Amino acid sequence: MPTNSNKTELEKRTYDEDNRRMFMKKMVALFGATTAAAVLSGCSVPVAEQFAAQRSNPPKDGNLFSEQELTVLYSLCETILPKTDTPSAVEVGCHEFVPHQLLHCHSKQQQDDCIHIINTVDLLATREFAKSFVLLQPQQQQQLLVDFETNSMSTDSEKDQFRFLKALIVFGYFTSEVGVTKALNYQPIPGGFIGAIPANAETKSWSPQAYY
Amino acid sequence: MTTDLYIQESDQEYDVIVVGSGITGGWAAKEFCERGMQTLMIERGRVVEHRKDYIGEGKGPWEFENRTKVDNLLIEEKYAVQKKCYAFSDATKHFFGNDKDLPYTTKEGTGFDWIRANQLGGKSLLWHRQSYRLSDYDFSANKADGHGNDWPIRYKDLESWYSYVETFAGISGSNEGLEQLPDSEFLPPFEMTAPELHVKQKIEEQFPDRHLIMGRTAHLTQPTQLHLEQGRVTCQARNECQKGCSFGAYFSTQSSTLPAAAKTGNLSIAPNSVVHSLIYDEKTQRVKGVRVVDNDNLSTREYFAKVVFLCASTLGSAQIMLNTKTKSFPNGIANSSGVLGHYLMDHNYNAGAVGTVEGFEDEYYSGRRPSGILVPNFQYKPSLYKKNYVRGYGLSGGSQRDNWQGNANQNGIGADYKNKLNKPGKWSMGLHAQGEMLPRFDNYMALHPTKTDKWGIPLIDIDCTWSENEKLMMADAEQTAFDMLTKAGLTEVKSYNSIGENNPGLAIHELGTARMGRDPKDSVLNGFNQCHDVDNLFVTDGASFCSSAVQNPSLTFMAITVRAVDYCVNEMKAKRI
Repeated sequence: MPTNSNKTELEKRTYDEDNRRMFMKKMVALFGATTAAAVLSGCSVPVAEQFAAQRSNPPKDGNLFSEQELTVLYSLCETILPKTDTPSAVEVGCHEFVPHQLLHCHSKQQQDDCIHIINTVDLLATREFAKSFVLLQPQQQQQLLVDFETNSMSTDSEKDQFRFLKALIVFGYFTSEVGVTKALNYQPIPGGFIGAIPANAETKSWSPQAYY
Repeated sequence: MTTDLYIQESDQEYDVIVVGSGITGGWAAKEFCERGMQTLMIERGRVVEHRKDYIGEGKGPWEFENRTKVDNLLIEEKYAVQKKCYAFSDATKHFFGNDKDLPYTTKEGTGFDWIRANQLGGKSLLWHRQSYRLSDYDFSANKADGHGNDWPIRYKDLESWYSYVETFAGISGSNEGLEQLPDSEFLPPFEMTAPELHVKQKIEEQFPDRHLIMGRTAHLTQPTQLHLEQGRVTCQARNECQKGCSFGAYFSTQSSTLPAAAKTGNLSIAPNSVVHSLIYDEKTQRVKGVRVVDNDNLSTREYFAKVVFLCASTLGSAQIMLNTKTKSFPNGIANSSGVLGHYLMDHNYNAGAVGTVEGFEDEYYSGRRPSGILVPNFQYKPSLYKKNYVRGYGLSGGSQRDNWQGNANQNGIGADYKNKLNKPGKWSMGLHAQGEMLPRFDNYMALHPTKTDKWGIPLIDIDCTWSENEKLMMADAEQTAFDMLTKAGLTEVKSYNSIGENNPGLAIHELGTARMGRDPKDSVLNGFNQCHDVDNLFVTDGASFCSSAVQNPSLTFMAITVRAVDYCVNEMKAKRI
């Protein structure tokens, strides 16, 4: 399997107008022409374009998620681990990693939980803002998830399901090439063990892990 | 290593056949070869070449399709049991046995998780490398409290052999002068972290009977000339050992004993050779060789030797013996006592506690230390036993700063959360019990009356359960680990006891199915691992153990093996074998 960072680069290069039109079609199908146009003319255009580029490849893992669920998952990845001084979860391909990993390494129950929680979050967005989660402003998206994770808007079991999905996104991030080699302090061959070294608030965690 | 090392057909009568190529078989072969004996090592699995076949080594998690996790379908098909081993991953799975091809049964209502490693090098590639001597208290335990039979050997019988194997294998650790855990010939120990030194001080202050020491492990922290000559160099602290180590920094058959044996020119290896049974000569009352079924094409062949050493693992060696039914031994060769297959033991790793060490935010470590710390058994003689059960346990553990893996479940969304995940979190530290399991006749393996594997060998049928003693011990160990961490000042201490969830087997320390003893009526082997009933048949793996003690057993496998080889060679030279 090519590394996710490579794939992102590759797919950025292969992005073209066809993809843009295809994405527009999907958005229209999902959300109607008005909101689709609003998204594509607004600040989320670069995000939307990138998404279109990546979705232009047929999903290789069957149909665990519907198109709409994949769109929400994409936005969840972007919201939970956004671009900072290191790439976002979407940039390292977590939105593709999650369905892949769920399908290959997790139980039916865990798969169903993830589908359920994605729809729950989206439903909540629709209830609160009369819009899909995907179409909220980044600040609204973040606030909604913070509320979902911490207050009475969700049940305990939904909180657990959300944390599972979040942990899977985090796992995908920190086992990606960028996550291991850039986001963390990469030490493939430490050269020996030192029991005590100084650390401060800026010190990054070591990677990789001995066991995942 | 040359290719003519490997043979398939041979009419030659070797001086010795060694069945198995793991830690025990590797040592037996090396010693026989170095004593000038023509030696045939028989391995049921494929050849694994040092370095070349370590295909998971040095890869980042992103280079595995499922980020080192193994696909559900593959697990279901081939690794339903093996997946329970902590070291099983996409980077190591090729060194684990295939459960589909290697079935075994357990009695209804019981379970036993049997971890397999059927390739050249066996479990020496996968082991956890913790290396401890047994003490005289361990060798005397059965006699002292009446559980099991008395070991026919004592510490003094093994002491010089421990030194011999340690010097060659390379064991790192610290001299502590503890009567319950004799010191080895040590390379420098790995360092402790600042919180470990702190907790050590607190525990040793509050519990004068307890010590917290660095784990002793078969890693070259500072290789000697002897190790460099083996082609081995300093441990790089990757702690990814089970993928194989091209530095040869941990002891394995491939890194250490096999090249030494091959160098003599006296070694041949028959890979892909599944030993079906032993060939017994009723007239001479000796074994003549082994019957083998080809691992791949199922054809049969025989190999011959003056002496046979079974080093095929505790369950494997007993299976071969039980499947060797002769006129004199209708219930399995050398089984006149009827104890062959019985007294099966493992270790009991099912309780412990973990907590947070407050502070030390300005402290970190560098590297992935391939060893934890150890609190050696402090209930090592009857006067120190708890009231409601016998024997004791050690506590292994270690400290680390939490990372993204532990912190992923905490609340947080967005940039701040992401930035926090990049950073080391709080220090946590755990203590995990490694309990002794009593030798009991009722815990046994036998051959299945009807089912056979693809090589036509009867399946092993296991009946092995935790006794009340093991359950009481874990309940106590849980509380003790909790108390020790709490009194050492840790916070958020959480304890666990998983004995109700885990079958025996997962400590991967199977022991005791062909035990030693002074009396041929209640044991299979004498004090030199020689069968009471068959002079030229030896068993030097874990099958020979009379009790499990609490220590990881591999170092003792090495020591009893080289001692048995020495005895055997002397007996052969004196024409008594």
